[in-house]
Amino acid sequence: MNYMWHLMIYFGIYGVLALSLNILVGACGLLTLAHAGYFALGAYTYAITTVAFGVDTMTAIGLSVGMAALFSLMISLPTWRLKGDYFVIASIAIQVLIYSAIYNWVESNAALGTADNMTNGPFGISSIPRPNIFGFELNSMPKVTLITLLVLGAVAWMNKKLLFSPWGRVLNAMRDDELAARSIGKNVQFYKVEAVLIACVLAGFAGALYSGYVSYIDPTLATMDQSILFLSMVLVGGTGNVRGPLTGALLLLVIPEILRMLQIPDNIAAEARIMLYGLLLIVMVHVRPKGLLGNYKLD
Amino acid sequence: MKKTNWKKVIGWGVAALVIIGVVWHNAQTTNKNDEDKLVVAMNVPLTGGGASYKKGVPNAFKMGVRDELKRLNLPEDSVVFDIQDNTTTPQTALSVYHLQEMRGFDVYFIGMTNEIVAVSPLLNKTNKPNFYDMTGPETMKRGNNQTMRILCNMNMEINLLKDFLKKKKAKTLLFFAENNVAYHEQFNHLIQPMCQEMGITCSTDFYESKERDFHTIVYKLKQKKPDVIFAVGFSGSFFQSLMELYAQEMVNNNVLAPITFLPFINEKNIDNRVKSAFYFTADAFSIPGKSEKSEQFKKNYEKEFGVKPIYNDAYAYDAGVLVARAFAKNGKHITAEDIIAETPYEGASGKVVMDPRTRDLVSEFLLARVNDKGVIEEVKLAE
Repeated sequence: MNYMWHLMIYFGIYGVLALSLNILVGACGLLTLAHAGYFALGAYTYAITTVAFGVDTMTAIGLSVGMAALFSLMISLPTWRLKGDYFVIASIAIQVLIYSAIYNWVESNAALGTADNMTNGPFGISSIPRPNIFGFELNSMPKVTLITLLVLGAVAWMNKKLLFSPWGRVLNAMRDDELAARSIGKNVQFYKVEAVLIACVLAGFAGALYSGYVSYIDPTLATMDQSILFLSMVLVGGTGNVRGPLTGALLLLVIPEILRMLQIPDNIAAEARIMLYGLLLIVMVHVRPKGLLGNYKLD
Repeated sequence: MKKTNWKKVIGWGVAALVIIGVVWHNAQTTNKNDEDKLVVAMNVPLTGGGASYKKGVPNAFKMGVRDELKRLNLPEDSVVFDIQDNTTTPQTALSVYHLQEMRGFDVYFIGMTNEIVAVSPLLNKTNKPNFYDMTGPETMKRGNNQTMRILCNMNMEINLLKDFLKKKKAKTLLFFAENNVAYHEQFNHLIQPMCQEMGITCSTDFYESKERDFHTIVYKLKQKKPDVIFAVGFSGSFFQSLMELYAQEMVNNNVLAPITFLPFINEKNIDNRVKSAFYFTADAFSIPGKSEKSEQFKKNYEKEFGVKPIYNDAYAYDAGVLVARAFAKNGKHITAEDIIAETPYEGASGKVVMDPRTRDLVSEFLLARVNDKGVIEEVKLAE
């Protein structure tokens, strides 16, 4: 049964991530590949503050969110006037920067969380405590599942309210014709900063949840592969609404697991699964360019 | 405000439940009818970063089990396998573990370092015999008394390095390594203490696994003028680093490489002069003619899978043999002690013993070099 709880927890975390990315990709039309970096930033902040400094878990979650908010300026300020391909390149640069910092900020003889060894580098950080939410200790899989799915529900509700509010419509206007949005007096740069901030905060929050659940994190969280996976969730499911990213997160989580259960000979199973997975994604994108349930086709 | 379309909501809810139901049903039923059989679950890297060295491990392990069951006149299907790819990422390794835990297992096998760290707290609770497939000395502490390690371990290499430094009368050592967790562990827990003990000045240089142009890196190292270089890494970047050390004339009977040097010897476009310039550590399996059983295993493996086995495969094969022997004597509920009781034994990787201190399944390690004809030979250094 733990396996099912585990998948639901992963769905909750990836769902939050996909919804956060949807704000940028779906609503603003900004393709970012730095999202795994912000996810890892949240995860590492939670881990370092709880393990190295003994901070209580609720404060640690708050700090993770704060750190992601602060670092969101790393994307939004340099890309103040950028869009399209230039924005993608800038986001790749930020992704590489965060990954390299996490991987290399290590000194073997120094304690974790010090200026010499902030992240433990390739060793990762283990024995991370599970969150304790106002006395409600997440010490079992059903409890973690419950909280994660409640969080996902809240984020989905908030996402819907935001996307279909006047604020969300400005983002859509900016996505479809930035010049037109400016001509009616909208400060598009400021809206972009806000959108990036909200997306990064949610990614950092998801990172803190992941860190607390798995109890071990390492730099593979911040790789480009992870960013591409998160982006695929949004693109496969569909952008511009809430159900699309959630469907994408569910599918990209469940398909590899279902493929594990096919009776493929052991010596070719791993490659066959990856090929099947790739093929399914190609077919999906070909048949439904807007994503399975999307409102908007990303150019 | 737009009204909620409840029909759609219910439709999507039902679809989600169907997906969850399919996963649940399949996960539950895959290992049915295996009540009397020994179930070996393997959570290993078959794709991703670790796959290049580890891909043959499940095949070799299965082959070891099968050969031994056959020798003991037991049915081949009395041991069943649940082999899953963890893509060399801890998050996938955790999903794989939960699936395999749900299906049930009697013996567990997991690689590599970071994946082990993610799964070990859960695995320890089961108290089932388990094998770690990795090299780092520190990671072994994550296990419990049921944990064993396959793979030639770094403790053995360190003894040879120590001897090498003594014979070369070295005062300075450069540890030139790929930036990964195993090599950081090796340096922190084995090399640094050894250097302090021997009064040797030790320096490091770590490079990224994607690095291919070592010209500047090696030029910088040249200024350090180390007496001995211990060059370690895996495949592409490692091979390039060795080539550049040779090209910049830093190799002068003073460079030692670990067992991961062996695939370098199989590179057809590298001249034998380059290959023979390096000393390296090797096991009996890797030195032709050293062990009859190793030679037999190489032939059988190549015949069955169409590729030459490497030392990893030999260790996995031996672990498989030991598990099958323990199963034959003790039935389904075997323990690590039952498996260890089957050692020492003469296997594919040479004379295999279980080191009681580190719980490593190890064979003899030797200093080796390639001769002019490209053949690996054991080397004895003069005092």
